[in-house]
Amino acid sequence: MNKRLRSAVGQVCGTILMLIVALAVGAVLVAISGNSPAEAYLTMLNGAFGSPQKISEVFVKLIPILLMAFGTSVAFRAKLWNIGASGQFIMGSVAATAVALYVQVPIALRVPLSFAAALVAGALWAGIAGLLKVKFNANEVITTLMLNYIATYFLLYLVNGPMQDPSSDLSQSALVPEEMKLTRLFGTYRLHSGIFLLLIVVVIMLFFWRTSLGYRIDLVGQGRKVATYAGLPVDRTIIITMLISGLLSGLAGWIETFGIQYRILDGIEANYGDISNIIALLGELNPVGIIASALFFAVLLVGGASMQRMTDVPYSVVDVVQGLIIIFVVAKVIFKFRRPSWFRRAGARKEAAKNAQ
Amino acid sequence: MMKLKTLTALGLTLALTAGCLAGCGGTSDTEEGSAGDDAGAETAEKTRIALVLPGKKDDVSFNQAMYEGMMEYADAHADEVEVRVVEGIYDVSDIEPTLIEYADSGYDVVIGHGYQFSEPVNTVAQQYPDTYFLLGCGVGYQTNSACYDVQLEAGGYLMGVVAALATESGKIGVIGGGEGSEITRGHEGFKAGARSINPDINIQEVYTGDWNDTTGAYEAAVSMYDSGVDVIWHSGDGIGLGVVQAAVEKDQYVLGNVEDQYTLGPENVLSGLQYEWGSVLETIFADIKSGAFLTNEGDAKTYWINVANSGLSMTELNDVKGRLTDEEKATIETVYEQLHNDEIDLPEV
Repeated sequence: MNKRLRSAVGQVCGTILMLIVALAVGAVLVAISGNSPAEAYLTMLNGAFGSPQKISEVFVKLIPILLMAFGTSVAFRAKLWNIGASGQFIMGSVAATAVALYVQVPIALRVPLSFAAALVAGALWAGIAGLLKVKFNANEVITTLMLNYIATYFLLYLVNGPMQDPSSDLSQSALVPEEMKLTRLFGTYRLHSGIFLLLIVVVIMLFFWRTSLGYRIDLVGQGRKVATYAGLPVDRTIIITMLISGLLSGLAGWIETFGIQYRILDGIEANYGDISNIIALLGELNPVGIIASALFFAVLLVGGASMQRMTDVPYSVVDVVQGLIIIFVVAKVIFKFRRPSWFRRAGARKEAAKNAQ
Repeated sequence: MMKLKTLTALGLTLALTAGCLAGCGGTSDTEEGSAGDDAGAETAEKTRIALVLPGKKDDVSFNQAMYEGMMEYADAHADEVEVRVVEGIYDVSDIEPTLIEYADSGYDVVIGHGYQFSEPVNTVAQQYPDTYFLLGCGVGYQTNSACYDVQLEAGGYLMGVVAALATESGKIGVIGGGEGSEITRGHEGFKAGARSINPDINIQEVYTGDWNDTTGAYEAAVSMYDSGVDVIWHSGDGIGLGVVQAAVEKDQYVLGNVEDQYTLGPENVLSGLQYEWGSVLETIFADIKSGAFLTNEGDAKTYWINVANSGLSMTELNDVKGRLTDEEKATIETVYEQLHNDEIDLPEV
């Protein structure tokens, strides 16, 4: 435990160092744009923590990105590079909304039905890539990426065609029934009861890698041969891994639809998919690390938006500063990934490196 | 360390819970530590206005017109108001949190500039009854919110007259962004105006369905010009740039909208409409001050700019190709005059 603790301290210090470097470079850019960096960063912090409403927004963002990062991490640990979280999110929200709008059963039945539809749609959308991988050895990076495009344009077609809100000309569906919306927890703030579902998933994920399924997925990540020697049904495990991975993104889609948007619309996915990939890597595919980095990104997103709204810093500079932070912090992770046996022995190596200094 | 992280997460959750419980207790006048107001106490008495634009403030169109109108008002009342402008809030999913943040940080007036703001403005207005909301070219109002809009059927009518007089082929076109809203009214006005000159004129009409689709609008304009159309009026934002580009490439006439677009194509921009929001903003803020804003109902909840109140004007004719005779120019002047005096029956949509 002591070793782990020390390695974790090293990790966090490294990340914080990178963060400081990124913020320093960002500060130069803000200064060049003719604004005060201190003011900009203070606004950013204030924008994320300055009032209960702002903290609520941080959690609103945290819900989808953390769920999707968990989903991504499940696949990544099996070395299945599922970058299709956004497509799975979209298919989940589309299926959920379709059930909510068109399946004429009592609401009490429609809620679990739409919930199941979202999970199944998300899981199947990832499952397609898993199946192609197993049957034809199709590279999942390519298939999941392409499935993202299909999902995005399918959504665009639906909200401009068959599912478009008849009472509006915008690219969006009709609103889901009032009774199906998730309750807002604190008055007008947007934080909703979907957070409890997130908490349940967090608890499950904290223990997931100690379950036999978790071990099996990790083993597949060690390589097909290793897993086969260990007597694992590798193909089946790959498909199960992809299904779980997609299911979590589908769940994120369900929560976002009934907690925030109350409908599907063009752009509902809001880049959460890309962000969740980064979060999963940044958290080193470890549940605790992922929670921490998801919180960090939620703060970055909400604070950055506030910086855009409340200061004169041009939006493009805000974007660049966010990008810089991502690049610097991820650069550290990639550096780590280049080392051999980066999974289980990462702590020990870090320790050795520390001792050597 | 893991524990520490978990603790941090837990601590944040607790902070949120505690903060919210306190918040629900009834502190509605949230203090805002915005670093922008270094003027101190004096600033506190100013009316704080947040203008939320869907596009860029220098788009030579819809956003720029409002930005300039707002700045004109702000300059004229520099000691009364303080304006914060945010650009590029186009995605519907970004709109609501943006409005909430301004309302929650104590802004007095929050303006959503565009049809897609309709639903979020109406929702958030109900949640923040102490904040005034303005909705540009949208639908629906609350006690504390109102719309401002452009009577584009009048402008469209005038553009239809100009197009019908300037065409040689007898074919004219009109390209708009999203269907519905003021754009549809403008298109109907355009058709009516053109037919008042030549009842048999051939009019081609396209909606791109999107206000930012420059490429789609460009392609639509190119195919119109290729089919023999020689004057097009465009009635929307980002797409206008695409139409003007097509006109320059095909060396045909185009009529602009919202802002004077002469500079975009000095050889091809025949004329256009220009919006002036300044005067209507004067009226709105006067109503807010007097309290009339809250008591207004129904039609009074929409503040119009139109040709009659000079909020909508025509930019100078730039007939490089010499297609308009003096007589025709006089006709245009007459119609303009008549619209000014509200003497023309405009189509109702």
